[in-house]
Amino acid sequence: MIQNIEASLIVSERHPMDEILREDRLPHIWCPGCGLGTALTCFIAALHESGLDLDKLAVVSGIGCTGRVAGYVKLDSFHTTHGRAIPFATGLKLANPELKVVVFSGDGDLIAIGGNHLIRAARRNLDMTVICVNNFNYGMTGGQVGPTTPLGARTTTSPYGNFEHPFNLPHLAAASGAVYVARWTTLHVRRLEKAIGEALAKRGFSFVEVISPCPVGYGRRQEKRQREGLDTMRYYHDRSTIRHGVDPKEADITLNGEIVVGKFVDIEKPTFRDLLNQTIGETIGRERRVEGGEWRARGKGRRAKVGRAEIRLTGIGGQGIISAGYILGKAAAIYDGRNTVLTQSYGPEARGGASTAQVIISDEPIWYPRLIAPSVLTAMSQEGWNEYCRELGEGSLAIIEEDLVEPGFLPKGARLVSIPATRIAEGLGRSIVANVVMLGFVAAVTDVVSVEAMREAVRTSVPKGTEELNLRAFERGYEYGLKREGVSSGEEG
Amino acid sequence: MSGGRFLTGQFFMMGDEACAEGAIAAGCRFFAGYPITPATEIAERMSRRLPEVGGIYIQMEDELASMAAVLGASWAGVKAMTATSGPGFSLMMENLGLGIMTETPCVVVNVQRGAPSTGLPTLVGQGDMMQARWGSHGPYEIIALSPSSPQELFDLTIKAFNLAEKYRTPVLVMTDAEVGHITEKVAIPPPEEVEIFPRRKATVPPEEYLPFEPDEDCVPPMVNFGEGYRIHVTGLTHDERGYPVTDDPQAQERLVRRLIEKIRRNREDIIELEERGLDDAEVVVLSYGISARAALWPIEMARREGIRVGYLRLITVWPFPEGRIRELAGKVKAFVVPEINYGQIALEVERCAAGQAEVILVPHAGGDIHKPERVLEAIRVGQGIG
Repeated sequence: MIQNIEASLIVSERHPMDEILREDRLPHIWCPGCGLGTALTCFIAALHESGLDLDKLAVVSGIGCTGRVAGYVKLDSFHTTHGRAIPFATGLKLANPELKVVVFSGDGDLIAIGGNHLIRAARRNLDMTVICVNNFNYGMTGGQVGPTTPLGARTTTSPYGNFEHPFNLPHLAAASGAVYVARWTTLHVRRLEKAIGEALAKRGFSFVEVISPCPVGYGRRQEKRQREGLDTMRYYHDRSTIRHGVDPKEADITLNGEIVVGKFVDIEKPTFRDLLNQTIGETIGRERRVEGGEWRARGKGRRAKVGRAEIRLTGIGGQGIISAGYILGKAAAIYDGRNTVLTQSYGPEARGGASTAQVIISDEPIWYPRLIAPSVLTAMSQEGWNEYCRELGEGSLAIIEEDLVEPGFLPKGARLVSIPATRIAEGLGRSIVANVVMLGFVAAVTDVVSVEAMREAVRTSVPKGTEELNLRAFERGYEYGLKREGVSSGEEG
Repeated sequence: MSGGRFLTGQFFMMGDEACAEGAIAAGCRFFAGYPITPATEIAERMSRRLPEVGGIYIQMEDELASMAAVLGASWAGVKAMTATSGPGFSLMMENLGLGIMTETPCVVVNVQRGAPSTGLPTLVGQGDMMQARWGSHGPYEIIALSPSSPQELFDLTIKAFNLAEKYRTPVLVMTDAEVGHITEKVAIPPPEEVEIFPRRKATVPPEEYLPFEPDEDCVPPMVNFGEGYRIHVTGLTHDERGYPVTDDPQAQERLVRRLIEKIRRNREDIIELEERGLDDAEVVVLSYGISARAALWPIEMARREGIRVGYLRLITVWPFPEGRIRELAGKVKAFVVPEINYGQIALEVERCAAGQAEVILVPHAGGDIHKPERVLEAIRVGQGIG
């Protein structure tokens, strides 16, 4: 009878941590002597103390023993792929800044396979807390060497002793830009809880390393055996030294050596979000050029049907060949209302390499987006001319920049006209508008696009503030073409 | 709309840019990516446009991180996308699987280039079609769309977001360097004319909610992180509660079968095809993306020669339109399949044709589209069969 009463008392007295634990998932998978239970307890205690809204708290883990933490907390929690807890948390936090995001994972997950993400998140000073439980080996897979295994330590894949230099995690986190860095062992429960609390309260990237026993995977294999978790705890007791504020690079961990613990970094720095808001906030709202568009299609242009016209514009990078192709294409597509395809090709060089734009204009749908028989070739470089002049056929038109191209050869049946576009542009004070001078000339000597459409396309495509200059350049090229040809632009191109 | 926040109108726009605008029109407000030719223009435009509409652009350290961040953003309740090309697509495969397993709506765009490996960064390829289907490990179904013009890149990116929400799955937009870099007229409708499928949100209170208990169409309603439901989500095999179950083959069977069934059972709704001249066809040119579009010219030539040739374009490539192909296989002599690889979709056509009709692959290693003569020749061969 008495027993029954006691039993009911026990059932009714819920542990304060039960609210945050998924009791229906217990018992957990961790081995006897493992420090993860302690680390989790400190985390939950810190959460209790923090006063944070637990509905707005998310825990993200990777893979491994520590990766299972996400599954035991009754919080929004995500168990990601190996190494990718931090980038998942990055997306989560950036998409909902109201969330408090904690990454809870192990040394193999965060430092080896996920090491790149750790240093990036610290560099960006993303507002998140990373709790890294370091047990010096891959526990879940049975005790393999890892990125923090001390020199000389034995694991199942360093049977002769580890010969790779390990990472010093506080040093790595601090050097990468973390604003809060602390290290404690699972022996220092109150200090660890306090550190996690401080990390949670910190704006920016906070990092807490938790040194933890792994008697099954790691401790029992060492020469100075730590068969039980308690052996390791005794070692922590004997060999750990609290040194707050010490330069973390002096906190290297060696096999059986001193373990420097404490709070190493606690600084203020703008977060990713602070800088984003500042930068974007200053820019957005300023007057910006936004491409205009009209929802209802305009009527067809004034020109007669052209069938399929194919124009190749060629030159070198930096001459505005692609821009010229764009303006020509836009004139035909948007302002003349024709089917138009623009394709482009250029070399790997950002400047100075060959640059070519192809524009196909047709009243029929354009299925095949390649030139079949170019009707117009516009060349602003000798290389471009040499490359493409042979594809000109009967009735086609070659247009060259006469100071830059020496034609030499012209296929039978093709006609040639020329313009000193660069000199004309220089006359306007800016050689850079030679491409638009060229376009004016094209509008005059070919029938592929209406001059009104071209004017409109120039006006709406060039950088804001340069419309007048570019339109003048266009008109100069156009006038030059009319004079030069001595006929209207009705002549077949 | 004014102020340049939402674009409406007719634009002369590159395919990659149209893709970005489609995403924004669909409500995408998060982009995580890594620069790669020929998909970079998507990232560039998103980096400029997202801040204008209150979204977030972040350039991650690699494609592994990009895909992970996209999943994270989606669980925060924001429509999210990444865009890449072959090498980056390979890196995204593991987390694509995580997205499938955790039923995370998102969109991945692959602007395919010449491959394998670094291949031809600036030139066209269609060699990732089977990777799209099977690239992540394990049994699953995927949705993949294949646009053939900038306008369609705009339209199908919106559709991809809608399918992602409707079926709670990552959706792939499998375009290519040709379509991505072509500039053509793109009509962007006013926002109120864009059809949006909203997130399927749970309507029950937290204590009654089982995060992976499906509705009748096999899709479970979703909650976002931070809404008080305190759910657990894992890439491990899990039960309706979302809890890992790693020792029970029946739990695996139940989960994986449902993930597959939610796509297979809804094939009719997902699959979109373009058909021309199939009524009297003896030969069918079956293709997708740029290869389908470019084949219309040789088809026209063949028709002028008197060959009864039809056209079947896969707008949805995965799930595969098995039924329609089986049906046609009973009526036609041959399928001609031009694709810029050495036979991927052609194998699926062969499987569905099951010997009832010949399948003539017109392969291409990449770097260019098929010359029309090659497709025309294959049509003639198809006509000559029987």
